[in-house]
Amino acid sequence: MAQAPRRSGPRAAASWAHRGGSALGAGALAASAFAACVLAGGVVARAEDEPALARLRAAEAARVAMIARVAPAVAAVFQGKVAGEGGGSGVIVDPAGYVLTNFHVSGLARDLTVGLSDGEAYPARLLGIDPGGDIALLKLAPRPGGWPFVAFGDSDAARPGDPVLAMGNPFLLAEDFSPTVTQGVISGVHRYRDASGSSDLVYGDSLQIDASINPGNSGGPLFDAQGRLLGINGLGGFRPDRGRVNVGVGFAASSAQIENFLLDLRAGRQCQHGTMNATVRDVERGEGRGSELVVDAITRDARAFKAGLRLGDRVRRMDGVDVTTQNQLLTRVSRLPAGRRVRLEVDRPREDGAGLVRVALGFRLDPLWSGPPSGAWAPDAALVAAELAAVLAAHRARLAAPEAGRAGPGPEGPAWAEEAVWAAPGRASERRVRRFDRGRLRVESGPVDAPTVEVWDGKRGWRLAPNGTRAPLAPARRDELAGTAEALAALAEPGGEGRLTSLELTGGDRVGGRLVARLEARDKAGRRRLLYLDAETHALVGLAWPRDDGAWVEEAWVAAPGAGPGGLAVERLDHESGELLERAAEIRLEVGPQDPALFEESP
Amino acid sequence: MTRSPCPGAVFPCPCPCPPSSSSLLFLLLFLLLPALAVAQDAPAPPPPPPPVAAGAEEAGWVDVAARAFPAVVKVYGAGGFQGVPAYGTGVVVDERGFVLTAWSIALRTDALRVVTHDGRRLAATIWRADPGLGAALLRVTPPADARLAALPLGDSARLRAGDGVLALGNPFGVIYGDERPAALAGVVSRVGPLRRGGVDVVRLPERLEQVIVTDVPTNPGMQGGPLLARDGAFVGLVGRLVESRATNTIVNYAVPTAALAELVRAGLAAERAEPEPARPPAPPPPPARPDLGLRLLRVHLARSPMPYVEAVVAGSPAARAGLLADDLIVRVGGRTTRTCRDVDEALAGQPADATAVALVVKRGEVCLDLSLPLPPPQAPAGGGR
Repeated sequence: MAQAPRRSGPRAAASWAHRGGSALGAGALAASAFAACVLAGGVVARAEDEPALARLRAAEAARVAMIARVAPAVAAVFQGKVAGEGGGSGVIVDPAGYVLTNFHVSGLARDLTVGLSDGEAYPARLLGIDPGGDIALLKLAPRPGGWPFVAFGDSDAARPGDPVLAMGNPFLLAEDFSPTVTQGVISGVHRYRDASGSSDLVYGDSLQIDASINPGNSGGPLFDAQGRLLGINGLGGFRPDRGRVNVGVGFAASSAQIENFLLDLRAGRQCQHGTMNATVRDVERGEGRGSELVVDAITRDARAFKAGLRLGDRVRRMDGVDVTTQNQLLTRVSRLPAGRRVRLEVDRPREDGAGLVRVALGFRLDPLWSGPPSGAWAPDAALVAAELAAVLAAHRARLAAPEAGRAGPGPEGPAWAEEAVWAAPGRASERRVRRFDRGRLRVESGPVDAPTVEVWDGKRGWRLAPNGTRAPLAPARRDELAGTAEALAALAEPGGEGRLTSLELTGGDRVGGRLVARLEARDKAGRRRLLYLDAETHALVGLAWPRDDGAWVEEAWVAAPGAGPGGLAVERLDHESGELLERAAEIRLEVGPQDPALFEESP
Repeated sequence: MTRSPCPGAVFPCPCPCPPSSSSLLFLLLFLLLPALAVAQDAPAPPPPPPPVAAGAEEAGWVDVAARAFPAVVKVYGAGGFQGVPAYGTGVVVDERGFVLTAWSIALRTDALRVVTHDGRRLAATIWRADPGLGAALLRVTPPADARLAALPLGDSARLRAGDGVLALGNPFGVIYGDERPAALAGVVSRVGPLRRGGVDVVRLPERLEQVIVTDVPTNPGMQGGPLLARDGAFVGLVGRLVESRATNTIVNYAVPTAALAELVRAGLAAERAEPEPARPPAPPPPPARPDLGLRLLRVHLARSPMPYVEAVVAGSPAARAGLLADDLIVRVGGRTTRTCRDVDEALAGQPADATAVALVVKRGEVCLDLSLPLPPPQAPAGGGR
């Protein structure tokens, strides 16, 4: 939305300009048409109608074709192994058979039935739930050729007035599962609908629509004019005096929100939405002067408090975007899963009372607990294992492709070398070369002619000073190199997970600006690593490890236009706050086996 | 994701003639006009036709909504009883501070407020009310540092059954602050009188002769919002539902702007004739009592927490009363206190000449009667609290 007004600027300007140019011509035409009308009555208007009618018919035909294209991916969803009573709607979002629906449709039913417009009912299993956001992810068994599916659209680009189509199975009208289509417009964007009454459902970042949403539409897709998924319809406005039918006020969880949760759902989790554990108030600046957003309560064990957020702080920006009202902050926070890192900029009253001082702080969101009590949900172990296997297979297939390493943003694969110049605030920059080959890791720091060399050869680690003295690696440093080497080797090599005690898909995150899958590795010495794979490309884009003081460091490869070869940079951040620890912008990457002698103790 | 207010800079001129680049549609509309001119017995040539938004069926409602948003305000009155919503919608019809809205008993309050598209709250007064038409003209003082965007009345006479319309408003009060009003699209079902005789129609303003019946659901809160034509013209003021108790049907209607022209004209003319009513000076802030030394355990939850004492300042009135940390304050001066807020309110509500207030506190398993001395209030000193 930040771009919407900007986008409309040039277009609007062009429209005004055009008007000036066409007005004269139109006036002349209008005069002659007026004469024709007087002579021939209204009938003459029919000829003039044709181009407009043709456009209308073309738009209609395009809409009908679009509906035909997406309808096979729209599902009727029932709890249990037969298509019975109750139930709602859903939509397939991936050829592998992932079905999105509402949590209030799936409940905690392990087995569900998905009816498609081919008239067939297919068994599905419940993979992950997001009770707060009212979303559930179901999985169909793989089938040859894949399942019909629809692509995600950009709900953040939706504007009030945009045409939308809701599809689903209202009142379970369709015996053959062919979806019902209702048409409308976007009524509002970024609506926050609080949990109300007995409902836990928080529509944190939702689209308001006037397309008819009736009982049974729940869980069904909301499409834009191109047939891309904008959201999952779930909350209807119903009025007792009109019966439980549509009154033109419906809400759909936005696709932008759902995408943030998709990997947590695939990981089989009961997702929790994020909260700052603080409340903010719109405080009037004065009559007619608008309001500002003031922190008026915060719990002392909140991560936001630990990061430095305080009572009286005026929230100005979140993640680089201005926020001026409670609603903006609520929608932006609640559309993120718990544990997601955010960055706030606040203005704080100075101690001496002389104005405000700008403070930036970063922290990860606390969970806003909702849904069934802890323990009621347990993921289906076989399904989650299959998800991990699918992610690993996709990553390794990518490594096996001929362009591996060139397309990927970071060093990846069974062997590579990376040379970079690292800089940190208040420190001279330092050249470092990292070489990795099948579980062995060598780091050279300092000048080319007199580097300090640290090596982990898979069993032992040593350090070679520029003056030639050799010593075993300090335990903390040895664990750092060994843990990374083991995790990277396990990730890259087919069957490599056998090197580890455990490797799990634990959800999603945002690293280096990308949505990623988070894998948690624990090697046989108990060392833990987080490995981040791009959600789309499955490329390795980052990893994280614990320092000896317990704080975690996150290393992320980020796209940085103008940052040198490949437009890449590597950043090391504090995992909790996102504070930049050090950064390398000039990177040279080489993929391929390294000289074995480099990892040997006696060259 | 900035919720930018509607771009006043992009549409600097709240001009009744929206942009057009489609001479074809321009023509079509023009062709309808001679008939209207005859019907109105107007000897003058037909007025310049309002141009139609560029490729309306492609551009849809986005531009229409975006142009009108800056002039649409949320209206908050007194209500919430007997099905009268306290919230509604209004349209700024003149940038000097005139807001047209649907008449409601909820407007009759000193606390009448409108919230502009950029989230500014402005105090409002009823300037002209016409319950018989179901409309009222409110007056606000425009903010000192920003202009109000206005949406003048458009021509409702050309509306026909089947015309597309867009209503903007605040259904169910879901929108607040600088959030954009909801946009709901539909068509005109009928323009004409609603039959009153013989059926028990409720809620239809009595002097309203012509109404625009639409299929846009007018939920509570939509009343007072604009009904916009395809070309963006403001053609109707959304009214509350009309119900027929005889047939158990509900009809959504809007008041045609033609019926409102006189109300608005007279209201604006009065503005020129009458000086702006002077605002009474703000009353001085009430004197505040010195700190009582009572610190409650203010755990910050959505709801105000139970009033447990966290600490008592040594030597303070609270200490002299015998209050201790972990006491639960259950009564203040006869008022039962369930939350910290109750305690704050009960203490603040003590008369200025009171010298003490009775407390009941629960300490462990016993309840104790205590008396909290109240030092006399002092006039607020600069910077003190």
